[in-house]
Amino acid sequence: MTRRIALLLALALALLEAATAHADIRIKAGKSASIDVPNATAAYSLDPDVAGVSFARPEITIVAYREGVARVAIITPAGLETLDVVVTPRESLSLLSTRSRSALNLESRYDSWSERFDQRVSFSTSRDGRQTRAEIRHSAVSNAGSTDQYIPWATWRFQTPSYTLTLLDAWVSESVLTMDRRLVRGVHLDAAGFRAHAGYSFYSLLGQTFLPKDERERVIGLSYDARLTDRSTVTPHLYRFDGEAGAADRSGTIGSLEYKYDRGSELTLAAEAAVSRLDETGELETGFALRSDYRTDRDQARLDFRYRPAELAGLRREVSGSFGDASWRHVILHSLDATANVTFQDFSISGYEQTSTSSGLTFAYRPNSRWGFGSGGRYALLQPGSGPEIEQFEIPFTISYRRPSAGGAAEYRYIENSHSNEGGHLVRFSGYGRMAGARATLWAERETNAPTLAVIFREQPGLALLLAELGIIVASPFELSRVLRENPALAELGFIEGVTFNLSPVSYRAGGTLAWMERGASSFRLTTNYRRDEGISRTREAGVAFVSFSHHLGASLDLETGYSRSFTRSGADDWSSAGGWHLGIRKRFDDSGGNGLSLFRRRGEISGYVFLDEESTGRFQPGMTVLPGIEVVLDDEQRVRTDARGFFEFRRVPEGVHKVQAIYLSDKPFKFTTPSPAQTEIGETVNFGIASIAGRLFGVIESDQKIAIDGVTVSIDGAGVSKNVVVRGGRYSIDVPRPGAYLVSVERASVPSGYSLLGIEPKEVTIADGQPSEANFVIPAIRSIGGTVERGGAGSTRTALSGAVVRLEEDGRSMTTDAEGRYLFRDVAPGRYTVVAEHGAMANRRSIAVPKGPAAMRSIDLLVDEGLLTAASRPAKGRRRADSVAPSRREIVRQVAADDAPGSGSMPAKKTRAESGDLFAVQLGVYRQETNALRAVETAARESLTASIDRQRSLHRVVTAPFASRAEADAAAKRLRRAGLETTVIAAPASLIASAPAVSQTSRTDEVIAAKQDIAPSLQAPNGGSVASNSETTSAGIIVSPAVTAEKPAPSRIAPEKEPVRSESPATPAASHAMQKAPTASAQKSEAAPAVAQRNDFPAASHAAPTRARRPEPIRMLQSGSHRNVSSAAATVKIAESQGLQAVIRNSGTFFEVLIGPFASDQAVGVAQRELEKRGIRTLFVIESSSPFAERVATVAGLVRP
Amino acid sequence: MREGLAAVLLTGSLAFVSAEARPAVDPVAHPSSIIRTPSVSIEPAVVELDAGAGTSFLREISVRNGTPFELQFNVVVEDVLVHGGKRLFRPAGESRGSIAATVVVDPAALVLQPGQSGRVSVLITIPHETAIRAVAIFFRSRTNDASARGPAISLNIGALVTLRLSGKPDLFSGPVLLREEGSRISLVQTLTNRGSELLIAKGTFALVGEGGELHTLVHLPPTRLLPGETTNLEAESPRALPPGRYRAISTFASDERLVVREASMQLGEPK
Repeated sequence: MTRRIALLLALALALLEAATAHADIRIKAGKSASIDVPNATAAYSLDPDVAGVSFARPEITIVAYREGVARVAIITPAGLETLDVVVTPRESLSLLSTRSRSALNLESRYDSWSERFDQRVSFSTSRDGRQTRAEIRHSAVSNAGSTDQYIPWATWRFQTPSYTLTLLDAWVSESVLTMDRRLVRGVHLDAAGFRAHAGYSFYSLLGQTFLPKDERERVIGLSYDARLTDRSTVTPHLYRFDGEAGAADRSGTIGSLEYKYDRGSELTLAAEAAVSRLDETGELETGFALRSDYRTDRDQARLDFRYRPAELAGLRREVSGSFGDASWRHVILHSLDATANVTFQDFSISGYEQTSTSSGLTFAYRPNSRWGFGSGGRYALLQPGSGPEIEQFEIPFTISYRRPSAGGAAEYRYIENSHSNEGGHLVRFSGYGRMAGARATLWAERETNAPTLAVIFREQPGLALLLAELGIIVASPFELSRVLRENPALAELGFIEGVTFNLSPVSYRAGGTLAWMERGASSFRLTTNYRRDEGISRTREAGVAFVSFSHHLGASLDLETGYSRSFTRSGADDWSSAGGWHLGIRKRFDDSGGNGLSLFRRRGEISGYVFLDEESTGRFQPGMTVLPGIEVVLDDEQRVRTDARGFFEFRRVPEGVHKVQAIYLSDKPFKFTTPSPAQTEIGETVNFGIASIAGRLFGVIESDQKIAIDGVTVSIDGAGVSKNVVVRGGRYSIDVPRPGAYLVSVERASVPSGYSLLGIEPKEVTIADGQPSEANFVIPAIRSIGGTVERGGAGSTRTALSGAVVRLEEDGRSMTTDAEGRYLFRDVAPGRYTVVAEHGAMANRRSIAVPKGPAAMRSIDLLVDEGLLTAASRPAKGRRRADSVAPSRREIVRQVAADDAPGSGSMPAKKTRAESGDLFAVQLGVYRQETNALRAVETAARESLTASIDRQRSLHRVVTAPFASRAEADAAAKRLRRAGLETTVIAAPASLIASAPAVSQTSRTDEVIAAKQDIAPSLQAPNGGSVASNSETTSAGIIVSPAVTAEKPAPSRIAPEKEPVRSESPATPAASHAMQKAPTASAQKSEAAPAVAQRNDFPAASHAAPTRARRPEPIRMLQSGSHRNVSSAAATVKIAESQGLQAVIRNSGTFFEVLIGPFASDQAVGVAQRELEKRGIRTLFVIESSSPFAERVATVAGLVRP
Repeated sequence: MREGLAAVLLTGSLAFVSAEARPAVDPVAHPSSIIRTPSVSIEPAVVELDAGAGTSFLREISVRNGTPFELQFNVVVEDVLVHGGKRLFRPAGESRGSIAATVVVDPAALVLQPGQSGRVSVLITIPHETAIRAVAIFFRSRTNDASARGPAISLNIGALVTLRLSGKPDLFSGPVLLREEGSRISLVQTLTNRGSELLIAKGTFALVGEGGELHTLVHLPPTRLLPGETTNLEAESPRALPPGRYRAISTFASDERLVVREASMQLGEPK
C-alpha cells in the first residue's frame, strides 16, 4: 500500500509540474552552448546583438555576445516556440559591484550540524585600470571537544593590463599531463605569455580549499604560449615536483609540449606529449594526451584520450593510468539520430587497480520539439584488480515531453548485472515546471532486481548453510524460490515468508526541489530526497530535507539561514534522525555611500545655491533671487533645505563622486536651468537654477477655405502686457509672461486685400501659468461673379441687354441685368459655375471656375442672340476663353491678371501660396528707407524687370514676380546680382500674386501708382517690348509678369459703361475710377506703353501724380452695407450720428451705402462696430488710404447727405 | 546613434538650388574642407532618457558640417505628439505639459565652417504632469544665395529625445499581410503602442517553406513607438522563391513581452 501511495504521489507531482514552467539557458558572454531540438526546422535569435544562433538539425548552437536576455525562436511543424537565453557577464576580477572603486566583504557562517564556524573577508579595489583583490577564509571545526583552526584559503591578487601577480592560493590549470586544476599556495605570475608558479600543493582539501597538513608537495613550473597562426598555439610546459618520500611519491621533473588548434565551433584539437624523469627511479617515461571535438551539420564526434603512466612525475593526487572516451553522433533521418560511444578506463592507483570498458548505442527519435523517444543498448565490463569480472547490460526506453514552461519524462530500463542480479527493471518519472519566480522539479523511480544466488546467500548466510545440510542444490534464484515454497522443512523454519517475497528486492527513490526567488530581494528553496530499499532480509529507509531562505537586509547586508533534517530506518525499531541549522551573514562595504569603508577616506563639503534664473543663464550671480526652503538631496540619502539665502551645504562628505539633486515642487510649470541631479565631488559648488515657463498663445489665421493667410498682425492686450506679432505661414505664437485675461485681435489694417473684415472680432482668452491657449481667426475671402449681358449677332451691333435673367445654375441664384446690361453675384463659394443668361427665347451660358482665394470675376460677359440658343461663349480679344474647363493654377493666375487689367473693373482671384505651385519670385532686398526700395525697383527696371514694393510695417520688401520656373527666376536673380542687388529666389508669395478685391483695393492704389510713376520712364522702354505688359494690384504692390503679355485686356475691357453696378462703389475705386474717368487717358497712353498707360488711367493717379511715393495714411471707416432705398440708409445715418459718429450715404446706382468714420485706430473701429451692432446695424470695416477723408468723400460720385 | 546622417528625423533635405555653387574655402589652403560627399550629420541622433518628473538632464548634441559651405544653424526644440497614430511636431509651449518649453539650449545658434563640428548642450526638465514622451531638437539652416558665398541651402536635421517615465507600454501588432511580388513575397505589419509609455520594439520577419526550412530572416531595426503611435513595417524576400506554400512568422518583443503573428500564402500555382 505504501508503495502504491508513493508511486501515485510521484506521478501526481510530475503531472503537476508539467503544467507550468520555463527552462532558461544561462551562458556567459563569450561562451556558447548547444541544445538539441529534434523536430526543429529552423532557429534564429530575436536579439542578435545579445546572442547569435546557428542551426544544424537538430542542434541549436547559441553563442553569447554580451550581457542581456536573448530570445531564441525555434520553428517546428507545430509552430514557433521561444527559449530565453540569459547571457551573464564575463567573469570579472572584481568581487563586488564594478561601480565601486573599493569594496570590502565580511561574511560569517555557522553550521550546527558539523559545528563549523567559517569566516571570510575579501577586499577589492580598482583604480586607473589596476585591480587588487585579497581574500582570506578561516574555519573552526569542533572535533571531540577540541577545536581545529584552519586557514583554508588566502590569496592576494594584483592585476594590471600587462601582468597579473598572485600571492598564496591559486588554482592552476596548465595541461592534462602537468598541472590540471590543482591548488597551489605560493607565487603566481602571468605576464607576456609566460605563466610561472612556485609553491606548495597539499594532499588534503576541504571542499575546494586546503586543509593544511604537513603532507605537502613543492611545485615550481613555467609555461609559455607561442602563437603559430591565428588558429594554432604551441605551449611548452616545464614543472618540477618534490614530495615526501613514500609509496605514492612521484617527485621528479616533467616537460611537455602542447599543441592547440581552434577552428571555431567546427573543430578544436589539443595534443600533448610529455617526457618525465622520476627522482626515485631515474628513468625517463613518456605520456601523451589527445582531445578533439568535431561538429558538422549531421555529425558530432568527440575524442578524449590520456595515457599517464604511474612513473610520470606529478603530484601525488594525480590519477595514473589510461583513459579513453569516444563518441559519435550521426543524424540518420530528419528526426532520428544515433549515438555510439566507447569508454575505456585503466586506472592504476596505489592499492587499487581497476579496468572498465563500456560501449553503447542509442537511438533518439523526436517527431517534434515537444516529444522525444529513445532506446538502445549498453554493455559494460568491469575488471577489478582482484575478484571476478562484472558484466552489465542495459536496454533503456525513454519518452519525454518538453515545453519551455513545463515538461516531463518517463524511462524504463532493463538491467542485467552479472554480479548482483539476473535481470532488473527500473522505472523513473521526472518533471519540471516554472511559473513567475517559482520553479519546481520532482522525480521518482522504482527499481526491482532479480538477485543472483551469490547475493542471496551473502544476505542470508544461514540459508546457504541449511541448504547444504539438507543436501539441496539450487542453480538459480528461481529454483531457490521453488524449493523454498515446496519444501515443508524450510517452511517450518520460516524461510518462505522471509525469502520468497524478497527474491525481487525493490528500491524506491524520490526527490524534488521547490524554489522561489523574488528578484533582488529574497529567495527560498526546499529540497528533499527519499530512498527506500526493500532487501532480501530487511527494509531500509532514508530521507533528507533541506530548507533555506536568504534575504537582502538593505543594500549591503545579506542574511541566509536554513535547516536540514535527515532520518534513517532499518527495521521497525532501528530509527534515527538528526537535524541541524545554519546561519550566514554577509556585509558589504564600498565607497559609494556612507558606510564603514568611507570612514577612512578624505572628507569635504558640497554646497551651493538654489536661485531663480528667469534668463536661463544657468549661472548664479550675487543679487539674483534665491529660493529658500528648497529640499536638496545627496546620494538619495541625506537631505537638507536651503536657508534664507538659498544656500545649502552637506558637510563631511567622503571623497568620491556624488549625486546632488534639488527637489522643487510647484503648481506652476517650471524648468531647471542647470542639471538636477548633478554629479559632483567634495569641495565643489553646485548651484541649481530654476525658471518659470511662460504661457503661450498661438493660433492660425486662415481663410474660409483653410488657406493660410500671411502678413496679418495679431496683438494681445491685457494683464499689463501688450504684444503683437506678424503671422508667418498662417501661424502665430506669442509668449505670455503673466497669466490673466487677454484680448486677442487681428489688426484690420494688416489683413490682405481680397478678404472680408466681417467677423474679425477680438477674442477674449484666459491664459494660465505656463499653459497654452489657442485663438484662431477665420477671414473669409471675397468672391463675386459679374459681367455684362449683350445682345447682338454676326454683323450686328452689340448692345447692352437690360432685363435679361442671369442665373448661377449650381448656386440657384438669379438676377436681372440693370439698364446697362450688368449683373453681379456676391458671396460666391469656390467651385465651378455655369452662368446662364436668358432673355425671351435667347440664351447663352458660360462655364467658369471660382478659385478658393479671393476673386472678383467681373468680366463674365455673355452675348445672347436668336441664333445662340445653346451654350456658347464670346471669344474676347487677348483673353482666354472663360468657358473652358477648370483652369490650371497658372491659368487662373493669368486669367486673374487679365481680368484685373487696369480699367477692366474686374477683381481677380487671389492667388494663394498654396495655389501658386511652381511660381517663383525674386526678392531684391528689404529696406528701411523707402527711397532705397525705390532705387532697387529702378535698378530692376533697368534690367527690364518690374519690381514691386511690399510694405510691411517699417520695412519695404522689393520683389519681382512671378516667374513660371525656377530657371527663369534664377536667371533674373543672376542678372540683378550683376546689377548690384542682393537677390533671393523665393516661392512666389500669395500676397504678391493675389489681386486686390473690392473692399480694400483702393487702399494701396496711391502707393502703387506713386511707385509706378517713378519707374514709368524705364518701363516705357522694355526689353523687346515683352516685359511689363500686364500688372495687377495687390496690397503688396505691383507684379509684372512677362508670362502674361499675350493676355492683355482688350481696350473694350476698360470701357466704363460695361462695368457692373458694384464697380461704382468707392470700395472698389481702382476699378470704378478706371471705368468712369479714364477711357481717354487710357486710349492715349496705351499706344506707347500699355501697362503704364492703363495704370495712369486711374483717377487717383491724376490727383496724386507724385514724383515720389507718398506714404499712405490709412483711413478707417465702416460701411453699413447696401440699402434698397435712401430712407433706410438715412435711418442708419441717424443711428450712427446718435453715437457721435459721422456718416454719409453713397448712391451706387442700385443701392445706397452708408459710410461711417473716419476712425483714428482699430480699437475705435471695434468700439463703434460693437455699439452699432447692438443697435442692429452690421458694418464692414473699410480701409481708405492716401488722402484725407474729406477728399476721398468728395471724389465719390453720387454722395448725398440726408 | 553613430555619427552619420540622422535619417530618423531628417525632415528636410540638403538641396543645392544654384548651379553656380562654388566652395567657400579653398580646399588646398584648408585640407579639412576637402569633402567628397556633402553631408550634415548629427550625433547622437537619438537620446533615450529614463526620467523622473521634476528632474533635469543635460545632454550634448554635436553637429558636423560636411558641406563645402558655411552653415548657420538655429536650434529649435519641438514637442513630439502623436495624433491619429502619426507623429506631430508642435512648437514649444503649444501643448499642455510641453517638455520642449522647458528645454534650455546653449548656444541656440551655431555657425560652422566647412568640415567643422559644433556642439550644443541641451538641458531638459521633465514636468510633473505630462503625457509627452519625446522632443525633437532641430538644427535648422538656411543660407542666402545673395551672400554669394555658396548656393542656397535649406536643411532641417534633428535629434530625437525620448523619455521613459512611469507608465506602461503596450505593444499591439496587427496581422501579417503577405503579398506576392513576382517570385518574391513581401510582408507588411502594423505596430501600435497602446500604452502610456514609449516602447522600443525589436522584431524579425521570418519566411519558412513547407518543410519548415528558413528562407528569409529579416531583423528589423529597433522601432520606437510613442504612446498611441502606429507604424507599418515592411520587408521583402531578398531573392526569388520557388513556387510553394510559405509561412511568415513575425515576432516583436518589447520589454518582457513577445508578440508573435503568423500567416501563410501560396506562391505560384500549387503543385
